[in-house]
Amino acid sequence: MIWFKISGWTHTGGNVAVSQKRPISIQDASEQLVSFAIDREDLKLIIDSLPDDQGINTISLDYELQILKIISVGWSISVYMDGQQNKAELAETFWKSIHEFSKNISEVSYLTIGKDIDYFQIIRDRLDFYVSSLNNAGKDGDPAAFIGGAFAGNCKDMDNPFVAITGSRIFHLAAIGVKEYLASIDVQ
Amino acid sequence: MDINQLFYHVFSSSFGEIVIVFKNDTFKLKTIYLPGSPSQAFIRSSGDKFLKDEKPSADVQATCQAIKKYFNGYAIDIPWKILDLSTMTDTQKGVLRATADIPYGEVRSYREIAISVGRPKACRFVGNTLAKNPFPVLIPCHRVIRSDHSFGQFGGGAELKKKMIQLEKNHQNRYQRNLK
Repeated sequence: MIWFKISGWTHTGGNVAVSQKRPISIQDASEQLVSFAIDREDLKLIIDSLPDDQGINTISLDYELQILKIISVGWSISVYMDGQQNKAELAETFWKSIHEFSKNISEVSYLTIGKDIDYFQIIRDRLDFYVSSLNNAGKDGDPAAFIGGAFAGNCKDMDNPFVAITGSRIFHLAAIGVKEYLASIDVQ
Repeated sequence: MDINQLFYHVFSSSFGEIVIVFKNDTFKLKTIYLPGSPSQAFIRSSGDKFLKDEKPSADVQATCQAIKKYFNGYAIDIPWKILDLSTMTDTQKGVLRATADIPYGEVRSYREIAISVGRPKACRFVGNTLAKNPFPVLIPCHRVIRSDHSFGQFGGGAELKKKMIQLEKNHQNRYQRNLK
């Protein structure tokens, strides 16, 4: 089977391939980033692949991973758009949409368990916590490693290396996803 | 090899690069990531969690061909047998089946889908279920739009949703002729 060349790449003269950036509005870019941040399919696939015999509490892992992924995407927008003129507007649109998403989660929680939960406040608290962990990492530390440890603490499973590695991995993969996505678009 | 090992395969369509994730033991499709989705890089960079399938089986090739054909203007017979719906509730499956019944080239509102599954007030539930549709293109969640005719959310982005609806409109005659 011969697979075709990736479309979106153009040949400029001889054999030099140049990537074309896709023009996109701030609203659409934000929508795609929000979809990515709240998408749990990839998280489910990661959780399913963890060993069954390590005593991992997959319920708290699932809950914390969703929050970590949202935070990682938001953090990556700020980092990978640094110096670009649309950074503030894209970040603001992203967080506004996450706020709306959080309201839905809070509403569903209230209807399901009858308890008032401010999901957006939980995200903000975790964000502060992870940012402080990143600050502890300093300039030379590996952010993903520090996030992994902090994540395991949030899961109340500090001593489980699988949990720390999973947190570290999700942070890293979410950051790569955002970095590559932002590199492929021209926000207008 | 662990029978639960997940694989991914990357292929090109006329709309851009697509990634499918699947189990190879007895072929089951787990999810599809459309062009432009940041999840593609997430999967590709995940190391041993998802292995790149370098030698696609006949099932993988058939799935990729069906998706490619879709983006060239052909309808797809939904391959229900290969779709892994094991993590979905019966109501969520009902929403996907109602969505799958929307004819090629046509659109329905979230409310119409809610009514067709017997839950007329569950528009938001329908929206949330379709937003998490793991099989875009195969299960045509892009054919579900808001009652005010705006496109609504789509994993591949509103622009892609608009293009897919337009693509189907451009090729709708082919299927209307076949019905006569």
